[in-house]
Amino acid sequence: MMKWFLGALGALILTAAAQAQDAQALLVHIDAQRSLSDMDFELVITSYQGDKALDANTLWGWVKQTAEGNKTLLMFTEPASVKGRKMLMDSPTVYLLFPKTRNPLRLSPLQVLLGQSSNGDVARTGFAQEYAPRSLTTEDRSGVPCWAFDLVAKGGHESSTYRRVKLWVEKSGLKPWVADFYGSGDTVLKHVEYKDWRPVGDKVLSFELDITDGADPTKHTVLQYTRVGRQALPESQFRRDYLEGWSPEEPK
Amino acid sequence: MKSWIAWAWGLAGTVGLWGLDGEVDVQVIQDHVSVVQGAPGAAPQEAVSEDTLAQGTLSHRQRLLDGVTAEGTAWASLEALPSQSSLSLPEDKLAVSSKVLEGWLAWEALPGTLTVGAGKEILHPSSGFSHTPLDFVPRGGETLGAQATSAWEEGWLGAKASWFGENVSASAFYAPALSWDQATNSGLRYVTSAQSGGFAQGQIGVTLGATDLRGLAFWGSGNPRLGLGLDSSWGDALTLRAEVAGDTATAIHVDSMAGFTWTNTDQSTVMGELSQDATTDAVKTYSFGRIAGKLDHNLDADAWTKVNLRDGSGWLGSSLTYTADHWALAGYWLGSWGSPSSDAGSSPLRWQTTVEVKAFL
Repeated sequence: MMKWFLGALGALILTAAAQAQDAQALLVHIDAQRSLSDMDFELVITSYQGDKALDANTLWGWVKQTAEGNKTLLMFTEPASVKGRKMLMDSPTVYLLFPKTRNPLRLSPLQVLLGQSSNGDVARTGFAQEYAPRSLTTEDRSGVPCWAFDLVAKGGHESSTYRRVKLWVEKSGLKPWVADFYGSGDTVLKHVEYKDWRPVGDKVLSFELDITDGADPTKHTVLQYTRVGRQALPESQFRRDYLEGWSPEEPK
Repeated sequence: MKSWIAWAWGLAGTVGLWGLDGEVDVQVIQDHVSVVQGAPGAAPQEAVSEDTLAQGTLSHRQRLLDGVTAEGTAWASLEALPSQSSLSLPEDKLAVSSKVLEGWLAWEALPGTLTVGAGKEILHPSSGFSHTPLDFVPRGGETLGAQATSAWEEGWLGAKASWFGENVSASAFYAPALSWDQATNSGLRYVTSAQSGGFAQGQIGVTLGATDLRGLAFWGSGNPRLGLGLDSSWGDALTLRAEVAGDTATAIHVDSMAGFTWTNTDQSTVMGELSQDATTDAVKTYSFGRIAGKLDHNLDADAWTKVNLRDGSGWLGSSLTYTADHWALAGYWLGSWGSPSSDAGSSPLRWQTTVEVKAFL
């Protein structure tokens, strides 16, 4: 009896481990589907209160894939009140350089970028690096069959603000559909919808992210990519000390 | 509003037509100060004075050739002081100041790796908010580290070379001594302030994971100085910073600062710093705290305090700022406490209010 019990337990553990490995591999594959090396873009971030647009800001961005993860350079171009600000996102570190200053400020990913979007929301280009699947099930979202990942922060990322993410990925195209970001409790801090999927080279990218405040659903911020292309900048430009001399040209 | 302010605003409105970036701000500052009137030893009384200041900057950045960039910022101010102030100008007179704050020509000799440049550049390597030990050569723009009213900083005339590696960077800046006869070459004051002693400053930066380390060496007037700085992130919400600097002749003259910034999930921030400045005869130890956050989409607020831990005197400030696409309106309150012999109390300032309007062009 004991042998049978231990055997069944072992089989269960092996099955669970295999499933977890499959879920992790699937998550890595989903990230890879929408990860573009040497990407440049123009991004418009619009903040809304209900249906009323409060403001819109335009940024230029460059993404570099490195062995340590993605790094992103941003230049604020509109409106005049933010024009000339430069930012480097090198997860989990964010540097901000104001015009007419010489020392970049170190910010945390949680600090607000614009509207409901934090620095981390723009810098995040995938999930597999920071999160591990706790479970993987199948659910329908608005009639669309989806993989439903329950993700928890990996070791080394336990202090992450979003300790848990519930992510729904459209099964047919493996495109992220919706994500709920949680803190340490069961309250949704942010609800993100991934929309407007378009091909860029051999990848398919979401050109619109709609981020809603979990506490006040009337507040939401739309990140709309108006231009996405390819431009390779040297990796050494993605450094804190390079920001002050960095003089970017408009993304192509 | 005085007619000259309207004139300044009108002129500023044309800046965009010239393809320049500009910023104009007008501040109305009301000081409540302690003054002793009559016989020495009499109890100080409160006097009120009002100051109106309009200042603006014009900036431009231009790519001249592939890898060659020129940029510059010019600044000008108009200030009116009332007749009741001891620092005053006669009624209806203005104090006019203007200067090139920065002007820099940079050549990226090896793209992403080696840059050389010359001109006028601000040196501000410290990460401190209320106290800045690594700013060996501050040049204006100094504040108590918390008030957000615009304070412009002037650069140093010199040349610089910067090298960027994968996780290491290094730079060297040299500023020559500059002096001239003020009477015969008065126009030079618009280009730069005199540089009484030349200096050289070298900096090395190393990134180790989520931590940046900086080492500085300074040669100029007085003993050579050395400094070390650290900036680090812990998780999504906490950033830490620490700096120590001292001259090489004695270990007693040490200037240090340690601080943190913590961001809440509602994206308000709490900041704290502890600093000690032993570079003068009187050792000063300060604690600094600040809380800031958004009250509404466009409305930001902050409150801060800085206390001299040795004599108990200190400053307290708060601000409220509304920012739109092309303008901002802000109100500031600043007060101090302490006995006349104390650090903060030795200033005659009791409290001050400022209303500031900014235009971004």
